[in-house]
Amino acid sequence: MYYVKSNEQVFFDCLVKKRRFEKLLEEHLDSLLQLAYMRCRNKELAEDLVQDTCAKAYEAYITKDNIENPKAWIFKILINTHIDYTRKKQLNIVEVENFDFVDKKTPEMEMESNVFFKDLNDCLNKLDKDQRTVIYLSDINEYSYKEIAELLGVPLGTVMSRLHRARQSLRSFLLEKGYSRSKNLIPGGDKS
Amino acid sequence: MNCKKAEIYMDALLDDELKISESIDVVEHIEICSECKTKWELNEETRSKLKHFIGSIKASPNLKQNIKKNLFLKNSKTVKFKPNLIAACMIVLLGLGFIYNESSSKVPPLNELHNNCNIEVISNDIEVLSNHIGVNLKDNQFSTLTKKDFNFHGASKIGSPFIKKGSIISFKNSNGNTVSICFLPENYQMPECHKTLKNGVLFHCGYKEDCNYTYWKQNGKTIAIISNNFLPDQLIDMAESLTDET
Repeated sequence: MYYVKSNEQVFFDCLVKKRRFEKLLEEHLDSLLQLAYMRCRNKELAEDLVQDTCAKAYEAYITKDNIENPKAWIFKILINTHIDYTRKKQLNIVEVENFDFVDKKTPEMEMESNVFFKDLNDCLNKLDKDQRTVIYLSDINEYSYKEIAELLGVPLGTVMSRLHRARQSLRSFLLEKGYSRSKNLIPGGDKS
Repeated sequence: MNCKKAEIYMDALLDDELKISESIDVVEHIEICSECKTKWELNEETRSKLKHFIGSIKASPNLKQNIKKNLFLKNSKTVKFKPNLIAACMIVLLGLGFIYNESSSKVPPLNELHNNCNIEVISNDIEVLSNHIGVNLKDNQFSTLTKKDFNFHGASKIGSPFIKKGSIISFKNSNGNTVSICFLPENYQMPECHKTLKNGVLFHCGYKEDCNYTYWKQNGKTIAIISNNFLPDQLIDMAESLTDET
């Protein structure tokens, strides 16, 4: 048995890595898109960002033997790619987004999207990208503060304060719009 | 606990980051303070709705396809294949096949191949191989083989009906296992280290847990890789990507 790194090995190594990376993407692509959407609030830009992220991630992936937390790893690449975008002033847009992302809306969602989801979306637009990012990582992905701090490369206190301010803002926006638990937050309900 | 402190602790409570004793204090406060209770309920509800809303964002099939398509463009740069290899891009040695024409003294005995390989070694004799797969490889040459000639799964994707550059064929061996063959470019340069191995004829390399393959050489050149570890479509993906870059 020989273990000489040859062109054939590189050839087959590529196959293996590619297949694994595809599996990784299959598993996390939706989350990646969601994070991208939370960062840039625009469908087209989010998709571009995801594509660039995947390309960068793949380039890095084939040189790595083991990635402990692939999801966090690829999230980090997306965030850094977005930071690069904004630095280059390719992305300075915050737009009101439609809901084209949603492939199949349930009847419930159809109804909700006209009321609560639109308001929620407006509220999200008023947060900055860092606040939306921590909201996404914490509320949707249920990452711990420690995990978020590591992923974003910021102190734990920063995560907590961003999260607090984000929730405070969201709550205020929604209250301004007349939502409260007692007035029924469920769309189509008694929103006054 | 006052409202200001409770509001700060509420986030941690929601995120399950509080100690039990602290949680009890906050919950107790929420129970007796209607203003904080409203905030707490709104936080909970917003979180739940946000999860539902953002969670419904799904990648479109187009996006998935584009990403998949672009993967190997990046890959080729990173793995640093030799430029001439990329340029040649898996040109099949149509006229050569995997007939081994050199003196038989250079061909390792089959039992040696068998011992060194995890694949089912059918034969390195063209006639035996032809008989085995039911195709006259010698007469047909690869330039004229069609899909019908092999029980293969892949070449159609690359340029059916003829097997073209970067082709991979797969067929069942006598045990019913699929054997895949990938044809390398004509000017494929073997690494120097291989030239001394096994008299430069045939060499099996076990590589990590994923890959076991052998290759055929002719006139000192590798002309085909045979593997029973990769599914045909995996090999095809690679071949296609290289073909695209021609």
